[in-house]
Amino acid sequence: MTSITDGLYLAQRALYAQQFGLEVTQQNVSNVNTPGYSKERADFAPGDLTSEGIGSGIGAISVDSFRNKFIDVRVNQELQGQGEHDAVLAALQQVEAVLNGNGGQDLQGALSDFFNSFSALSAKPDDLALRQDVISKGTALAEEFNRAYNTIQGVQSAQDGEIADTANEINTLTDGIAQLNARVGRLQGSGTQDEALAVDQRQKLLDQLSSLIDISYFESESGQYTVTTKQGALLVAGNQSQQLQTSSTGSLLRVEVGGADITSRIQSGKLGGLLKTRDTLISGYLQTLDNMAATLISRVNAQHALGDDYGGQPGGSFFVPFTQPAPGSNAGAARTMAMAISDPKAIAAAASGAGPGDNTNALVLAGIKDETIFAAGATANQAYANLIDTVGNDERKADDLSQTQTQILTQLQNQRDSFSGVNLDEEATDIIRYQKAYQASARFVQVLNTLSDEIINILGY
Amino acid sequence: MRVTDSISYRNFLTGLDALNSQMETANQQISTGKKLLSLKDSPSGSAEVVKLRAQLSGLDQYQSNNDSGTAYLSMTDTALNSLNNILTSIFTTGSGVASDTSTAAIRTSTAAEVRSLRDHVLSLANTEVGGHYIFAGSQTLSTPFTIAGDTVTYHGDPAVNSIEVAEGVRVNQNVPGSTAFQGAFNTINALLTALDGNDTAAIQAALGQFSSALTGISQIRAQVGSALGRLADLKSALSSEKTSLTARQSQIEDANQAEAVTKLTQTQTAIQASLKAQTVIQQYNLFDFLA
Repeated sequence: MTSITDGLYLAQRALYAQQFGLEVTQQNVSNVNTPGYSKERADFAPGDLTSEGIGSGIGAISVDSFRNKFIDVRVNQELQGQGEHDAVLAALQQVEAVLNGNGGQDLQGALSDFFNSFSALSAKPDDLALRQDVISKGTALAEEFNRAYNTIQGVQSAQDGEIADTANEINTLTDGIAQLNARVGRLQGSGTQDEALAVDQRQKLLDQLSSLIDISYFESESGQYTVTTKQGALLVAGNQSQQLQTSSTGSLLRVEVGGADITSRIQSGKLGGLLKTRDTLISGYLQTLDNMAATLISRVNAQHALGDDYGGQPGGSFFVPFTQPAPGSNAGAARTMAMAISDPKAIAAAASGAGPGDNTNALVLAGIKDETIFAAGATANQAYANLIDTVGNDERKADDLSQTQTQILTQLQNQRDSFSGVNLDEEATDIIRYQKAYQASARFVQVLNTLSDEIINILGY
Repeated sequence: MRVTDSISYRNFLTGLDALNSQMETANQQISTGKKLLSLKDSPSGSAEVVKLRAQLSGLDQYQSNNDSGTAYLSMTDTALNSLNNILTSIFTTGSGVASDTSTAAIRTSTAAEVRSLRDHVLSLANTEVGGHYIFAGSQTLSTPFTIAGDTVTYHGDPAVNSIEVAEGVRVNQNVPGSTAFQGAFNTINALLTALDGNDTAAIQAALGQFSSALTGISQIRAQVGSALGRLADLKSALSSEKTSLTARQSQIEDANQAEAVTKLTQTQTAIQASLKAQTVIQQYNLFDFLA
C-alpha cells in the first residue's frame, strides 16, 4: 500500500471478492436439489506484488466446479444397462400377461381341453353332442393360438412405436449436446459460472442420452464432446448433431443414421433394449408359437385323414392346412390357425372302414397329447411349459440385471455426489467465512476512512 | 466419505423403495394367496405348474372316461345277467318236455313259450341307450339283430372299443353282439327246430348245448366284471394321484399366509423406523444455528 487511495481500492477488491464468494455459496445452496449440478467454488488468486514488494491484495477471481469425469463415464455406462434392462422387463411383463392368463384361459387350458374332448369322444364316438364339443374345443384352441400370437405381436408393435419415440428423444438430446458444445467451446477456460453451468447441463444430457442408447464420447482440446454409438456411428461432433432416422421395412422399423442402417448395431440403452426385445426375444416367442401351431396342425390333420367320419366317409383336414411361406418357415401358422370343418359328423373318430361307433381314430387323436413331436422332443404341453420357462427366465434375467445395475448406479451416483454434490453444512460454514472476511475488510475501510479524516483535520478544513 | 444432502436423500429413498416393494409383494401374496406372482418369481416353478395343470386336467378326463366306461359295462353286465336268466328259463322249460312222455301238442305250446322268451333275448341284444346300440360293435346306430322267421341275423361287427382311463391304460368298453348273443341264438334255434319237429333226441341234444352257451356267457360276464373292478381300482388310484398332484401344485404356487403376514408386519415396522430415522437426520443443519 502506497497511498490511502490505493488502500481503499485494495479493500474494495477484497469486499467484492467476499461478496463473490457469498454469491457462489448462494448458487450452491439454491441448487442443493438440482440433479446434475456440480458444486462450485469461488477461486481467488493473490494479487501481484507491487514495485515496493508489497502484496496488492486479491487478484484473479474465478469459479471452479467439482467434477469427476471418470465417475461420469461409469455412471453413463450403468445408465445404458439400466435403460436396456428396464425396457426389456417392461415388454416381457406384457408378454407374461398373455401367456400366463388365469382361469385356464391360456394356451395350456385350450390344449388340454382339445385333447380331452377327443378322449371324451372315444368313450362315445357316435354321440353328436360330444362331436360338437370336439369342434368347439378345436375352434377354441385355434382362437387361443390366434389370440396369443396377435397379442404378443401387439406388444412387438408397441415396441416399434416406442423405438420411434426413443429415436426422437435421442435426437433432441444430441441436438442439445451439440448446442452446449458450442457454448462450452466459446466459454472454455473463462472460469465463469456460465462455463460451469454449460458443462453441468451437457453432462446431464449425456446421462439422459446414455439411458437411451449405448454411447462413447471423448473430449476435444476445445472442451467439446464427440459422441458416437458404442459401435461407432457418429451422433455429435462439435456443434453439429446427426439425427437418427426410423424407416419402415415391411412391418418393423429400421434405425438409420446418415443413411446407414444401424438397427443391429445398437446394443444397449432403452433403444437397445427395445430392439432386443422386438427382434430377438418376442420374435423368438412368436416363432415358438408358430412352430407349435404348425406341428399340431399337420399331425392332427394327418391322423384325422386316416379315419372315417360319422357317415363312413374318409376324414378330411381337421384344421385348415398350413402352407409354409418359405422352406423351413412356419411364419403365420399360429396367426391363421382355423378349423377346416364345422360339421360334427365330419370328425373322423372311427378307423377306416369301421362304423360310427368305433373309436380307434379318436383314441389316437386324443393320444397326440403324449406324442413327443414338438421341438426338443417335447409334448404339446411341455412345449408350452418350455415357452413359459423361457419367458420367465428372460424376464428374471432382465429384472436381476436391472436391480444390480440400479444398486451399482446408486453407489456411483453417491460417489459422484460425494465429490460434486452440495452439503449445506459446508455452505453454512462458507457463509460464515465470507461474512467474517467481509466484516474484516469493511473494518479496514473504516480505519482508512479515519486516517484520511485525520489528515483532513490537520489541514484545517 | 463426504456426505451431501442428495446422498442422504437418495439412500433414504432407495431403502424406502425396497421396503415398499417388499410390502407390496407380501400384500399381494396375502390377497391372491399365490406365491408365484409373476413368471420371473420362478420360471421353472411356473413351467411345472403348467405341466401339473395339464396333468390334472388329463386326470379329470380319465375320471370321466372311467365313469362312462363303468356305466357302459354295468349296462352290459345287466343285459348279460338277464340273458343268463332267460337262457336258464328256456333250458328249464325245454327240459320239461324232453322226455318221451311229452306230446307234440305240449311241445308246440312249449315252442311258443320259448319263442316269446327268445324275443325277450332279442330285445336284450338290441339294448339301446340314447339311440346307441351297445351290442353292435361299431355299427352303433343301426339295430344289430333282426329276425326273419326264426332266423336271427347280426348286422353289427366284432369291433371292440377300448377307452383310456389312465395314462397308457386302456380298458375294453363293449362286448360285440356276435360274441355275447350269437351262441345263445344258435342254441335257442336248435331247440326250437327240435321242438317244432317233435324230435325227442334232437331236443335232448339241443338242451345239451345250453351248458356250453351258459358257460360262454359267464366267461364274458367274468371279463366284464373284472373290467369293472379294474375301473373301480383305477378310480381310487386316480383320485389319490389327483390329491398328490394338487398338493404339489399348491406347494409350488400357493403362498404361506402366516409367513406372508409376518413379513408384512416386519416390513411395516422397518418402514416406520426408516421414516423416523430420516426425520431425525434431516432435522438440523448448520443454518439452523446461525443467528
